Amino acid sequence: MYRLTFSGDEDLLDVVLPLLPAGVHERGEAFVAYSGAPFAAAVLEATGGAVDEVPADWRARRHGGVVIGSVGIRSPFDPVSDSEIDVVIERRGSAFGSGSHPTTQMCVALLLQLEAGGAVADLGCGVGTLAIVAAKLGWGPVVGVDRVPVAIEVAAENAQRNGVRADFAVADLAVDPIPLAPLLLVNAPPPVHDRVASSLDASVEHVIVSGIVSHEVQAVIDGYAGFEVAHALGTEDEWIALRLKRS
Amino acid sequence: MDRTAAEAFLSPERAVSEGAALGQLASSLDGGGVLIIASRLVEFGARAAILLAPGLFRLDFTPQEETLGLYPRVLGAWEVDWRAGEESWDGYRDPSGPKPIELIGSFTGLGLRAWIHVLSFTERDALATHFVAKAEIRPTA
Repeated sequence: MYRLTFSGDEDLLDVVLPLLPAGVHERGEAFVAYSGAPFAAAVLEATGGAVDEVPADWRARRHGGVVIGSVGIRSPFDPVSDSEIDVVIERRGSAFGSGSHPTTQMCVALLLQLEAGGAVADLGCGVGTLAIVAAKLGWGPVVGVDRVPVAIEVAAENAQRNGVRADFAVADLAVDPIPLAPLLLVNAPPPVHDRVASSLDASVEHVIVSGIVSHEVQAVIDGYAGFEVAHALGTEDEWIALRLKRS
Repeated sequence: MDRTAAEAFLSPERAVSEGAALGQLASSLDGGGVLIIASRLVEFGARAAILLAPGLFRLDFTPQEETLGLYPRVLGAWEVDWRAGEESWDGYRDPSGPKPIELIGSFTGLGLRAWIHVLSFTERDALATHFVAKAEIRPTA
């Protein structure tokens, strides 16, 4: 397997992407392309890049899922990560939360800003990624709820896979009672935030909010009365994550 | 732009020739226009050209396990109105989703309309997604 490393812009990609069926990977300022056959002369000429040889199985050259600070989140099919906290997440069916979505990653980044300790409730937990990361960081007890039964089934398996204690249950946050804790993780759409915000009591000290885009931010913040934004993160495609603390 | 000039973008021979490295196929449509089809297995995290309509647009995808980056790249100074079939969008993450991803591009100055359907099958143990894409490009008048 051959690897081509080169630099360029969108105009260069217009020339070479139609000639590179496997596409390109962005590696910082550089692009990297792979091919089982030698690269076409037109590609080498256009890019002026450097070619070397790498393992043929692309799984062998992956570094293990996504890394957020000290936390690495990977699928069971990824190589073992060298992150300080290695989290292995299985996902099935329509369940959400493998760690590949930017909202999950931003929630982990915000979680890492807090000193671990105390109870956590992951509301809309999907396959349990955030709850499991919290448990691995030292938070506890940890509970997670989601309205998708298969998500809860997989979340319990993921907790066991990662050797942490977390309790998961099926609950519809639109109608069922909302479990509260000093730290709430709510990576969910605005209607869920409306219901959670109206259910808070004095025990809640921090809320990590995501699942929203930029034009929804102010309404969501306004809903969490008595809380203020301690830190905000965003992506180029408008996903937003907030860490709220009691004012 | 006159009809003859717009028809330069509707040549199946050109779509096959310029998309040869992508394994693209194309044919003329009854009533005018061109049908382009292509399929590709794309590694998670790679940005790959899924479909090329020469001179008009290129459709690039970056699959992840449960998210999909989409880059419709216009290949000229054309004014284009892109619309996504939002009800089909979650079909990438949810394999029980009933519809292929749908995208419509209206090239108003050229009098052309591209209707794009993309099916995806994620091979999680291969850390990759297989895409099957087709584009019907027709004159609007």
